[in-house]
Amino acid sequence: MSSFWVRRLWQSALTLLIMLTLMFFMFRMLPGDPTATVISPALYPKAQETLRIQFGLDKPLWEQYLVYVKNLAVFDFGLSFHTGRPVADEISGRLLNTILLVFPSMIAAYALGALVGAIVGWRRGSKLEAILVFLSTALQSAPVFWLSMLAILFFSIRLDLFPIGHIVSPGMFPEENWRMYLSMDFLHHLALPFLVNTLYQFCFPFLLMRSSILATVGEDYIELAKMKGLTDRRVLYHHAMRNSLLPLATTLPMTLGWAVAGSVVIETVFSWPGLGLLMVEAVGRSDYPVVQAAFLLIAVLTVVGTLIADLLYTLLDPRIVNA
Amino acid sequence: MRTFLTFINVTWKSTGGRISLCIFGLCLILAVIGPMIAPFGPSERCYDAAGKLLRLTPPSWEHPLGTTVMGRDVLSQMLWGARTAMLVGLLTALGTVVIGLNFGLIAGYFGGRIDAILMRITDILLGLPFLPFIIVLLALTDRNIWTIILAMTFVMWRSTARIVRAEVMSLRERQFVAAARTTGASDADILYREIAPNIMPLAVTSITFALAWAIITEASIGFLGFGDPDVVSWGSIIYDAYASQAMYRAPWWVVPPGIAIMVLVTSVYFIGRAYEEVINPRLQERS
Amino acid sequence: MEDSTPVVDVQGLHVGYRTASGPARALLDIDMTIQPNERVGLVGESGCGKSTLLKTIMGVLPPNGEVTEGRIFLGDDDLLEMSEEARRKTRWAEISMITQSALNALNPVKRIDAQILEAVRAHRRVSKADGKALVARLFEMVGVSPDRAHDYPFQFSGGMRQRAVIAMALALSPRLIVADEPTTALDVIVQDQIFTRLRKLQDERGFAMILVTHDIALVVENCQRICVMYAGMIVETGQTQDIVNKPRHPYTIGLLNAVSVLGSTREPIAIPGSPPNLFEKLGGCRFAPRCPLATQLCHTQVPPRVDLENDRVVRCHHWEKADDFAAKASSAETWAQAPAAQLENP
Repeated sequence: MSSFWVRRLWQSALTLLIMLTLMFFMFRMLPGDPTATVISPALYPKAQETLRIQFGLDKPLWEQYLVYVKNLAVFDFGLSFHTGRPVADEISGRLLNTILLVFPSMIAAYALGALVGAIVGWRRGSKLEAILVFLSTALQSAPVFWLSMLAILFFSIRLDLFPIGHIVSPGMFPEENWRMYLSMDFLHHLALPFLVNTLYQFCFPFLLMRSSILATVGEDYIELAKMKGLTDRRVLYHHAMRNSLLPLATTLPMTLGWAVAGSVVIETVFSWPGLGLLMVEAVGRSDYPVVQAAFLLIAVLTVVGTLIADLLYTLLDPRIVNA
Repeated sequence: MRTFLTFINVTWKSTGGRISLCIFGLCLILAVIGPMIAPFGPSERCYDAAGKLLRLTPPSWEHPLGTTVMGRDVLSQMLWGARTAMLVGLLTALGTVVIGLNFGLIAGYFGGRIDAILMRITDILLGLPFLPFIIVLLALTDRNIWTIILAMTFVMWRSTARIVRAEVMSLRERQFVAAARTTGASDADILYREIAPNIMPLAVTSITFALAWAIITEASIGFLGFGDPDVVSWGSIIYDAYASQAMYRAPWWVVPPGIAIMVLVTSVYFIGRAYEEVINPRLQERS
Repeated sequence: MEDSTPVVDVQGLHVGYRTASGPARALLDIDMTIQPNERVGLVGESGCGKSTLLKTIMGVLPPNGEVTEGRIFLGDDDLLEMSEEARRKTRWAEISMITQSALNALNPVKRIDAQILEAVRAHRRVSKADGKALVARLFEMVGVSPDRAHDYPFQFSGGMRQRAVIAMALALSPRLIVADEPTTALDVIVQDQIFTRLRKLQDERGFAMILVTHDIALVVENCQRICVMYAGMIVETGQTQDIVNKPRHPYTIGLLNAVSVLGSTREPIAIPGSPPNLFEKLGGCRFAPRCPLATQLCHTQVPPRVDLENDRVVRCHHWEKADDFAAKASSAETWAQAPAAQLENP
């Protein structure tokens, strides 16, 4: 068991290292002054000089790289071009906001998708099945930002049920703090992006679970489970569904990654102050240190999400760790 | 060409496949002739008889899908956008499959070191947040449509490579490969003459997925405002509506591009599924 | 034994499948009676309908399968008339099964003891301690150490898995156990151990058993009675000794002929041709194309059921010629006269 985990951790660390190396070179390969993406050109020349020395930009590339890695290790991403504050401060609350939006809706989507997919696949050939398969394929094909806009148009503007965007009402929490997350106001703001994201993410696990159940139905152990006199529901939940969860679980890391990466879009529509929105705004302002930091954090989230999904998988399939 | 004909033939067998092929064919035709039949240019401003700019006018005979806040004809923009969607989708899908297929073939066939290295690369690409990465890339380079296609291809071949590799690994052990080897065929011959034709069905399914993904991603990039400023895409139409704050007042501006994306991508998914159901008997539901 | 009520009595059973290529008639007019504590062998080539018969008895026909006619009595109750819930309660409690491939039959991601107890709990309440004791007892019965009960199927060898499946079949002390090719995947030594074990268990616990196999030698060795199946029909049944000594149906003769007898120099002869597909309309005896005795009558009329002495049943127009035929059956020329053989080498 331990060797499996050691290997997995190793892989994750390596992936991250390569990604931040990639970032380092991408940001330095720009035409013009290679330091233009690290130090704001808007600063006084004197201040630029001080920072250049602080970040080691007067040194050769490999030394710069070492400084870069060392700074990252202590979460020093430099100063924002836009606000002049340390990037770490700008970004700190954003990570949590993204997690609060993406993870719960992924969990809801997978739970719902697996359940509905299993039931529909078990009772195959129904009208409901055909309708749901068509609807979820269509939904999956729609751009999520467009769905979000339709949802806002309908639920927020026509019906006035939910706020149009943002994480809390303006002025409610002048200083962002943890109390904010416990308020009804926060939940009210979370509701619509959560629902849209859940509905959108629902399609994939639903379709996969359905086809996976269809493949399970002919298996010998399902037949034996029926012959044992188990009720139909028990055969479905404890045998067919349990085993069909495996292929679903293998795709979870991938889709979790997509969801985190896709949060860029949904956060933008709902003005949700997460990493994705920060990144998009920072790109618009050419605030490169923030772009880089936001990207790296999204990458960390993706990799950690993958690790968690792997953990889940080993819990579901005893053959992986024990064999 | 023969593969293409079989593909059409196979997909045509199911009703869903037939409808989807028709929709896709229609989009393809519009992509080619759309800009020619579009009544207005993509950024042409329209004025009424009195010379007043037509801002946000609802659909009329003159402008069947209304106009934008800048007085542009939405229908014409839609027609130009069809070309963008198809161009980006098809080129990216093609690039993805060509790269993915070759990497998968080589990794699966040779195994060992080469396989380990290639698979590590796909691992890293799998961990790469797709959309943010493309945004960063676009932020650092020119925002033009070719960069977008290249960036998407660069990331997307990973899945195809993995699927193809797995298939090649099982094919490698088959009789016909051993037979080819004993007749003294070179590795390249075996790979491209014996194994590759057997991978074709898989590659076709892969193309449909890549196509669907590319179209949606391009739209997302356009929506986030990182699209090619000189090219109209369905995503950028929605972005303009969103950025002008007028979208909630002018549904005729926002709804059509979204529906176009949805219908096109749905048809692509259903084409892939119809093909797969015939080709891969395991997926056929036991009746 | 003849006077007691049978455990299971199948009467005039017809089963068909709806398939993409049209309806298939998988079982035709099956009669089969199993007495308490009896071992009945059901023999036939693969695809002859053995599995369909078992699935019908167990009530797990796939959705496209359908019983078109007939009854299956369990004691005094017709299984086919029961409500779904009543039927469910009979499964495993009254009739259990030892399945063909134990590897696929055990759920790979559940522990073995859990899978056994699950069957028990579907029928009665069992405390944790009782359950554990029951599994331990069952494992001892089949000769596997009870310490291993908490393992996963992939941690077991093939023979152990088969024993675990037998333990599962015994769990509720059913009246009938159906064993479907229980040892095909195992080597001969393990096979023998398992049959010895099964016979011993049967003597101790008094259940009846149907042994389904394509291997007639196995049946001759282990069963008191034999049913020979061909293309959806039971063509001959009777006491094992009667059938081995005096087979009455040409197909039975062919089957016995195809087995090499230890110590004999005779080469086994395979029956030429292959079983018919089940889509064809029934216009006569289904074995006729492969039968050297076939006449015009055989091709046009379904042979009736002929009841002979000592519970013997045969379905052949020419059963009276069987003795004569059996004497010549060991020569390949005899079989070459079958219509199918003549088609092959004109």
